[in-house]
Amino acid sequence: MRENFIYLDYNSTTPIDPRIKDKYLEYLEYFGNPSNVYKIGRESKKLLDNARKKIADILNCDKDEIVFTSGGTSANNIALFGLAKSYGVEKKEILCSMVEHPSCLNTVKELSKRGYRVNYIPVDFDGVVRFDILKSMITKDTFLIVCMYINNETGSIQPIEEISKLAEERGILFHCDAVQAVGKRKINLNSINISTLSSSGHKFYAPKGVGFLYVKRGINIYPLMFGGHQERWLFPGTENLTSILAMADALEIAYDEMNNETIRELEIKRELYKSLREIYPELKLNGSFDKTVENTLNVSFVGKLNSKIVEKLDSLGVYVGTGSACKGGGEEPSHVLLAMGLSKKEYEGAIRISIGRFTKREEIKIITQCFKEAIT
Amino acid sequence: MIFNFNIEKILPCLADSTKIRVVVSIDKDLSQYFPYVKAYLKKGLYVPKHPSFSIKKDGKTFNIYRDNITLIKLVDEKEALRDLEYISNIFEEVIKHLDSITPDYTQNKPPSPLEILKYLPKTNCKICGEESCFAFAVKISNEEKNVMLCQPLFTDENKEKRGKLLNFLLESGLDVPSEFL
Repeated sequence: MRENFIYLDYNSTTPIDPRIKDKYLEYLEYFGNPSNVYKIGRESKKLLDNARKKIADILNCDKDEIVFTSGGTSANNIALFGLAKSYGVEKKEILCSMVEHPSCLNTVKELSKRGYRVNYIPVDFDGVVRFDILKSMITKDTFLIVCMYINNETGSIQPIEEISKLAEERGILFHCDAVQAVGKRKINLNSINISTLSSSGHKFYAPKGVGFLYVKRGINIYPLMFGGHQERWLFPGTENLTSILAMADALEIAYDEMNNETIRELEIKRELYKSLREIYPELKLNGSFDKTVENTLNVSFVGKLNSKIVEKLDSLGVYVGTGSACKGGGEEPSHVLLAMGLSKKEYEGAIRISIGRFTKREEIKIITQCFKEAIT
Repeated sequence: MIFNFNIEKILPCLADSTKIRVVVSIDKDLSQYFPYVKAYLKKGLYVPKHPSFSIKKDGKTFNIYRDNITLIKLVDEKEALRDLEYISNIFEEVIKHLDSITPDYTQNKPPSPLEILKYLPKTNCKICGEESCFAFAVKISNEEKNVMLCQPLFTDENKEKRGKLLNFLLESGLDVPSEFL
């Protein structure tokens, strides 16, 4: 990884782990098309099957339940459109959390235009889905619940187990966008009732352009794209073998190192938060420590503009994110922070710091100094 | 074009890396025409204290200040050039017809609570933390609370009302979640 900057936006993307980079280069040698019947094709097919099995074993599901895709967005689209087409025939109601990633929000919005009824589930002040309200929202017409595992902006962990139980009891499908969770949380798909679950390799140190969708056995998804037989007809086209193999290895490393890494990241997060509060006592934590993932720290420099802070940090070589989009006069506020009920001053000053495998504890001091300069 | 410009900065949009934000300096102070442009277009956000004028077009926003223009949510630099041309054409047109335009010096007013209430589902459910929908409307008007805290508004039943309210708030210069527009 390049060393002339400090990268604090791991929720956006992660650098490829050098160990994975080496493997990736090695895998490039396997150019055979897995659909071909001759030797090099068969070799590729075997490698593809092994990668699928590796991922399935880690998530405790069957290898046939893993569909390789080009990333989280394609996985979410395939799942949501496919489930709606297959199951939303008589029942037409979808419940979707208000804080989903645009790849789910915009997909359900499109479904709403196509005649499905979409009701949004609110979150509390910590950005966690209001499970009590979700329960009351279910009607006899609900066929699908959409809720992410971990929020990309705040790191808020959603009550996935409760939702899965509720969905099972009420005979409702449950799609979970786990893009921010896979590689950070141990997910046991054998013990949880999730119909479809999406993931993206570049969030856990694999290359970009590869991901997967878990489709629970017995769940039928109508295809979104048409072509060959690959990936159970759900993601047709020649498989991105090199990246798939690298992704399986990256996930294995993430799981092997997860226990130590989460402890290390939590320590850095706590220390960084403490340091930032020392330089800016009005700092507001968005999402409480016990309800957010270890690597994510979303804080508001109340009274400051996040765009200015990000710009200044950028010039100092420190890269952080905001949940904002461009808008007139400043930045458009994040729908996540709005849903959490942050005031204008709070969301205008919100910064997302997401740390990762290559964040060093000794960088905290310099990060704090850069923030001090950026807010002055 | 009625002004010369220089591209000062090309920055990524913070949440959408596929889009860019372009800051250009201009050699002509257009602020005296802002009230005329507002009257001519019958839309736009005019803030006299800056002064600034914001125009929206195809999901993009152009903020015009005394000595610079910020173009937001663009695909590439070429698009910036086209949009600068568009802005220049508007001002050129306005300057040409200056005598026949009655300038609109009003700043966009915050929306009144009663207007907001008109679009709220009026369930008094208290999920937003307020005792009544009217109390919530007052808080929205004062920008103390945002519309996303109204859970019933974000149901399919109230989809139409939601669209109207979000657009109304947006036109009034308030922050709204564009994902739900």
